Amino acid sequence: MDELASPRGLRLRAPRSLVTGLWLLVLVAVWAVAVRVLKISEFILPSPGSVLEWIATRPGYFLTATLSTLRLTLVGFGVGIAVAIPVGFALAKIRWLERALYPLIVFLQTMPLITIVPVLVIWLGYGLTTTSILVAFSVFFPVSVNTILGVRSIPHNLFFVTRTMGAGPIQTFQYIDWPMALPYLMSGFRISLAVAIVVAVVSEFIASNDGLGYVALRGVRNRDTVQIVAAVLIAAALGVIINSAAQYIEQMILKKYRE
Amino acid sequence: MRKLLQSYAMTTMVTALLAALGSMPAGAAEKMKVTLNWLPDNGSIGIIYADALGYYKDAGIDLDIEPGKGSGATSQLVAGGSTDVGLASASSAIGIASKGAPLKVIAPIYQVVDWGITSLKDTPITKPKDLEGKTIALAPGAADIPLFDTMLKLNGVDKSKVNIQMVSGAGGVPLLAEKQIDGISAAPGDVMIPLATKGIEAKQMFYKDWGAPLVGISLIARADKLEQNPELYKKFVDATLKGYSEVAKHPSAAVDALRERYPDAAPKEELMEELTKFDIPLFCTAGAPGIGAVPAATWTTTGEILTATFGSLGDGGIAAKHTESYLPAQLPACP
Repeated sequence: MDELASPRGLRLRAPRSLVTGLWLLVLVAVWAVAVRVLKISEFILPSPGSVLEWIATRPGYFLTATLSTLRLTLVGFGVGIAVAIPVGFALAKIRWLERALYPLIVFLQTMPLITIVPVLVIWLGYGLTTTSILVAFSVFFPVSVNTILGVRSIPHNLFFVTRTMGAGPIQTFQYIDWPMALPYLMSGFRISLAVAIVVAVVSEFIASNDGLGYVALRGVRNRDTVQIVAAVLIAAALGVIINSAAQYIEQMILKKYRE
Repeated sequence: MRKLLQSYAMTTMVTALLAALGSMPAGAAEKMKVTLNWLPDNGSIGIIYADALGYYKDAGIDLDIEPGKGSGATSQLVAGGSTDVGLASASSAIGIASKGAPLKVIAPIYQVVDWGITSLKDTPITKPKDLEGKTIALAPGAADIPLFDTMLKLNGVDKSKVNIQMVSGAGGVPLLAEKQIDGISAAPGDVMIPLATKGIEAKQMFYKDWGAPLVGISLIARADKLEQNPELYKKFVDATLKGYSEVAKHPSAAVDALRERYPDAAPKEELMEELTKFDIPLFCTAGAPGIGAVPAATWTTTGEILTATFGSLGDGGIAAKHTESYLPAQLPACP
């Protein structure tokens, strides 16, 4: 809930979704007026009405593409975190391993993803395998780094206490490492999910024949600016939905662990 | 009881075997994957129409058609063995083959490229020297870049005096319409048709008229795959050329077939205009024996231009980069 101060000092509470919706409406109105007043050609910037009409006349086409992008995002994200979490814990716990591998991880992360696409396409062809590798790659770094930070943030005396109580490595992981690192992990998930959607759409554009990225590419080939803008807007909306869902799941999980 | 069970088991096995044999077709179709040069459009319409007409099925081929992301990427996929056959510009395929990739052009589809510089009618670029001092859009990684360079070189144009902007062909259209650039290197259909729909007239200066007549998009394959299964490739080429021949005879039906399979393709009117005005005329050049085979002189010129562009075409030169061994004995007649 957002609080809005009234002239008399009373505080009004407006639902956050209402505030966001209002801002979006203002943005769309500015866009529509700008297109009309400045007489912008449709092939430079289409009006919001044309874009909405385009989407409304092809619901099945956009739904299929959106589901495809969603599947790629989730598969890539799943693969990325499945590798990043164990690696993050291992690097946080084993100093020599961190010293040996961390520079390599940073090297891989700083490598522009886009430059490895042609090579991946030659090796694996177009499709889910290639694109999900790219998405997983983008997820790996934020999640593994946050995992390391999470484990490092645990006070050392907690480990001392569990050791004196006779807890083994599995119990220590279950009752100390995992719950204490979880807030960091969740934050890493949310950051990487936002990145994952962007990478998913870009990788569909260059290495897949499905999804919203492909729809945008088709728009480019057909010189159809309306289709390109429609694909971009749906991708952005998908990002907002996934981010909201991630926030909700994060709150539920953290609440459960606090209890 | 044991004998009864044994005979029951035997009967069941024999029945299952017979049922399995009965369900198999007399000659199982051979699987084959073709990667197109780009998303399905007029360039690949012959393959899509041949498939719609059942030519591949009749030839015993179970064809998987995969959209591509440009001739360079398709050539690399074929060279890497991820796909059996590709539709790509001959210059891209030969460029990769000259670096040692085992690629061969097995059937030219567009016997000459129609790329050139598109400019607005009121500020036309009519000869290569006009390019000096102008801003020209080239698509990153596009197959026409070697042609652009060759045309500049052959006509004594100083490249440093041409302001080159890397913009995708489609992205350049609004820039040209708004006069932010002076020309685009592209196929005429990619620029002139969208400009015409907005009431803007344009002109095309063709590379082929200024010393760069190159073999255009072609069927390409890996040499080792060709040797392993020559009959399959012969059947594929035959069915494909028949498809393009039918496109020339019935363009409207072919566009309908393309749009039925790929409803997100360009509108029918645009595809028809591009196909009939610019694409079908490229199926044959003067002196060509039929669809799928170019006159020897065109290969010679292509070899000279590409040698000038790439420095060397590697072992065997241009002759080693193409073959007519997979063409049918009777080529479809030129339109």
